[in-house]
Amino acid sequence: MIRKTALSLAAAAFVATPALADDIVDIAVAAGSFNTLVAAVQAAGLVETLKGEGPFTVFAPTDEAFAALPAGTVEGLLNDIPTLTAILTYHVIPGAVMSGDLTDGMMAATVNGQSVTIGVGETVTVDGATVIAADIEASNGVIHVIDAVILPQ
Amino acid sequence: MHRRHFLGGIATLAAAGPLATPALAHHWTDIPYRLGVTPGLRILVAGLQATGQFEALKARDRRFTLFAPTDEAFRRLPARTLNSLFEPANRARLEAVLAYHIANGAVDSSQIVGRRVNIRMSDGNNVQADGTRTPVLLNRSARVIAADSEGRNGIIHVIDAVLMPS
Repeated sequence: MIRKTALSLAAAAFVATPALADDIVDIAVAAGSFNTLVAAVQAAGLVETLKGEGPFTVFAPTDEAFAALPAGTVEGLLNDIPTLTAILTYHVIPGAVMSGDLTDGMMAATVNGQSVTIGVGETVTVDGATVIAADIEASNGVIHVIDAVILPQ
Repeated sequence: MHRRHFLGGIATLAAAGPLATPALAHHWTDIPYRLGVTPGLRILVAGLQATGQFEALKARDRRFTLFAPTDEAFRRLPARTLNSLFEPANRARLEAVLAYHIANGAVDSSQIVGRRVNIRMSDGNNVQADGTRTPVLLNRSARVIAADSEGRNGIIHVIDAVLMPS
């Protein structure tokens, strides 16, 4: 209930102040469909980083993507911050990469240090996860929404 | 301002979880959790969930060894075999195949490397592990490609082929 109210407030602020540049975190919060991602970023202490100058490219898994993980995985991750951090940073690429810049078979080094593999066909994929909304621009980078959580080795 | 306040609230909520339950942190490192955060094991996880073995592997009072075939390993099976394994009517067969990948007790690579050992699996059949080979070879066909992923209640070895009980 509190969360819902806060979200409406955040959304209202977003609409009311279009001139104010929203960063990656602001946009994820305002969207309302990344609650698990936002909670995970908070738990891992990555908010300040993702509100920082960047620019960053974030592959943002939806709440449904997190819900598709085996039961208990998300709770486990919130109790296992090193693994959570490794997974979250695997979803972030330094620099703003628009979907048009992506090519099939391209490897992109993530903030985690390991690289994701990009696929470009009928849809754009990242390690097999499908980009379901691309090129959401933020003041400090770009968000591509994906339908699955991707995992580093 | 409101937004900042909201974010602070979430941070407090999220932080309260691990802080409030330090004793439980350990619990999450069980085999199912390790499977959930390891890439490339989606088919295995789906199979274990379908048969109820995923839940069984959460047991706190036992230790297991799991030979975990990758998604590629499952896809290397003939398509008919793979499809048939995952048909609801063949749950018992799927359970038997997966049981052949689970041993009671934790066997790490130090118990295998340099020797040949038979490991009794939970379906009653043995897996022959050849530790004189690098990587370790199981049943002369499956290679251990990532050994010793250790959880609270056991050990996972990722393998590149599905083991079939004879």
